[in-house]
Amino acid sequence: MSGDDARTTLSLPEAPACAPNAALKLGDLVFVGRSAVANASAEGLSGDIGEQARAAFDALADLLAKAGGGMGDVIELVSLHADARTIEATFAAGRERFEPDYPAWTPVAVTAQPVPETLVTLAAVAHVGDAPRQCVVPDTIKWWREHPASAGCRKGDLLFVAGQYGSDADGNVNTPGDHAGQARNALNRVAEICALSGASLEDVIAVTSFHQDPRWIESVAAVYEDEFFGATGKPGAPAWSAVGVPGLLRAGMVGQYRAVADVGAKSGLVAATGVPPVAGGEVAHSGDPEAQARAAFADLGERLAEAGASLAGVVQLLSFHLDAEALEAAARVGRELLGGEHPPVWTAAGMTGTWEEGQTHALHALAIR
Amino acid sequence: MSRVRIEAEGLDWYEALPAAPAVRAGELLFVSGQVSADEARRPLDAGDVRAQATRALDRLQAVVEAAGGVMDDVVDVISFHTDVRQVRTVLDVAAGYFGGDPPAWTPVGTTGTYAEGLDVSIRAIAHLGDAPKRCLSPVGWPDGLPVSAACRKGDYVFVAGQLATTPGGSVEPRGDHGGQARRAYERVAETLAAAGGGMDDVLDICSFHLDPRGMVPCEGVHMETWRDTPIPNAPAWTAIGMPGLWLPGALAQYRVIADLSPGPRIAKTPASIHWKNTPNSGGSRKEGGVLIGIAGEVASDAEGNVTTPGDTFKQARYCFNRISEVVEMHGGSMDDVVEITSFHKDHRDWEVVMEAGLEFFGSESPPAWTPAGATGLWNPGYQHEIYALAVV
Repeated sequence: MSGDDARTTLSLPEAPACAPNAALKLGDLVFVGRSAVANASAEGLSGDIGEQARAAFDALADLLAKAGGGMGDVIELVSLHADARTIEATFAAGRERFEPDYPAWTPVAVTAQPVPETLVTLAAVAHVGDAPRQCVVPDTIKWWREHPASAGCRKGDLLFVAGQYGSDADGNVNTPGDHAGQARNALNRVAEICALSGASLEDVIAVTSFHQDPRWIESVAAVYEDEFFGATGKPGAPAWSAVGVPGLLRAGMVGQYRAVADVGAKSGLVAATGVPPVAGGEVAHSGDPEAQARAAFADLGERLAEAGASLAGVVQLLSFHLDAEALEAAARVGRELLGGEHPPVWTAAGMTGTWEEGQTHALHALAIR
Repeated sequence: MSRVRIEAEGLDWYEALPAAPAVRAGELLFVSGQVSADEARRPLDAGDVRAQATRALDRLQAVVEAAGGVMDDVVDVISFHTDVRQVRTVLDVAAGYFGGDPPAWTPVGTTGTYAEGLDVSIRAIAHLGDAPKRCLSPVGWPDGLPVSAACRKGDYVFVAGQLATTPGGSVEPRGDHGGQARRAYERVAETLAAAGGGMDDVLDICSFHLDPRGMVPCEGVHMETWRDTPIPNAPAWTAIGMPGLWLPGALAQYRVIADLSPGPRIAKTPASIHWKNTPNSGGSRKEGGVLIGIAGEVASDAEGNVTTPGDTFKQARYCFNRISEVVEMHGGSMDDVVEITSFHKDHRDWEVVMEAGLEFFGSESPPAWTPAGATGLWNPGYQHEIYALAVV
């Protein structure tokens, strides 16, 4: 896989704001999400979570069909919820649409969606090739089998590890109130899922972690870097985004760790993050969300360049923003920078904070070299 | 002063909770956060914020009227919004409910309330007495909306959440939590002076912050603002991280209750509260007054360590025990607590917290109660911060 010429863009212009409306096909891989360039409105959006979730899955199925695949090809799903209490209803809708083996599914609550009335947004990755599909739920977290979600799903060289929690086999929260303890527990599960899928932590190219309080990110970083992945930013270390969110699947869960592994580094994909830079303890352009968005995209561009890619190669963007104002500023800047014939699919949401107070954006991208 | 429970049609679901739709104590009426829900607390009009606001305001009106008042008696509102971009729509609807002297109104974001799909929760205080109501809106306060910057009635002044607004209406300095807190306090002081009071009349301050880490510089501003206030005369302060404030660029919002009753402000802070040596009380009232503003109580021991980390129920019980101590030090009891606003790191926790509240209030004549999800409390290990008002 390489270059723009391999890309096909598919769209569903009539999809409601809760549903994916764009897909980008790249060889056997299909990235599905919102279009980076389209505006969205609340028109046609039901206030019922079941209806929104079904509309979102319908749109996902339509886009996959256009891409020559189907729901059985989905290997990863990220669902962003206006309220953590809508996760179970979305699982129920997902159970109607997916067969075992289920995709790796990371559900997380967010503080804002591009359209305020949105209850759920989906971002998906599918693999429409012939390679065998391998999905796992380790016995250490057998409670996951209640859900239409695998803990890890691999097809070809790509393995997606669904966001792991600090829980026991029955779903009880381990080490209540201890963020570092839950991080260790969750990252041990990530390692276990990688191993069961024929991969290792060495293959992980991206980690997205969600935290019930952004002030805990620092204590987690010690566990993450010292015990699992080494220093972030060093060559070979995964691109890591850590964002604060208002709720995870079950009350008491304080952290969630999602990973993307490129087994044997053969996929041609690279991962990178972008945040407004911090220099001398000061966050750049503090209080100016638009200038911060430009700085965050510039940071993302630099990191992509280090990995041999560029903003033009971005295929999937997940982005998190401190409030609605920041989300809208990032959307304006992003539309300008990511336009072109094959824009990435882009799912943006509100967060409660990232690494440093004052950073209003956290960008998390997969790109092709 | 014991509380009188106020009921209204469609609010039967409060019966099982340690919460009343509204509570009257003397001339003051405390109304729980009204939402668009049916008699079984199932959300109605999901996805339609205009219809939800109408229903919530209808409920507020029904409760105020059941207590013998009218909507013009409402002096203080805090509305919690799951998306602050919907504040303007809610205020547009509210314009049809209030006359020329609208309440001091603090709109703020929340991560969630009773159930998913509820876009707005509106809690209020009404003053049912005969005293004239006087509303103030200084230069820079948003025009054309049914919100006053402050409302005075009798001895009480309710100051709506002040932002770091300039006379031109912009919020500055951008990106500077402490700078905005300082400016917001200036707006509070000006507003109180215009209402005939002053900072010495402040019972409690409730501040909302866009990033919980922004509370750290705001602590410095609090200490600076109150540095000349003797600890036995300090006001109470509740600081909460919320996912959105109502004007773009705002990082902090300060809502204040003041009592112009005679005498000094009396602060009571139990030894069990770790901030006892700072100008921030456990709970404060005026010597000649009856209303006590109680600081958001948290699960922290006397040294500031988090008690029972990760234990939702026990943390709540710990908070209630602190409230109980504060009210007792003011010569009252839990029967005098008229309103609870409980902030939760996980908004789903409200049910567990109310279960803990049953031990303290029972379900027969409990306080008004509004639960709201928050993005961060003072210490990341706190699961709840429980803010209360009592009338003794």
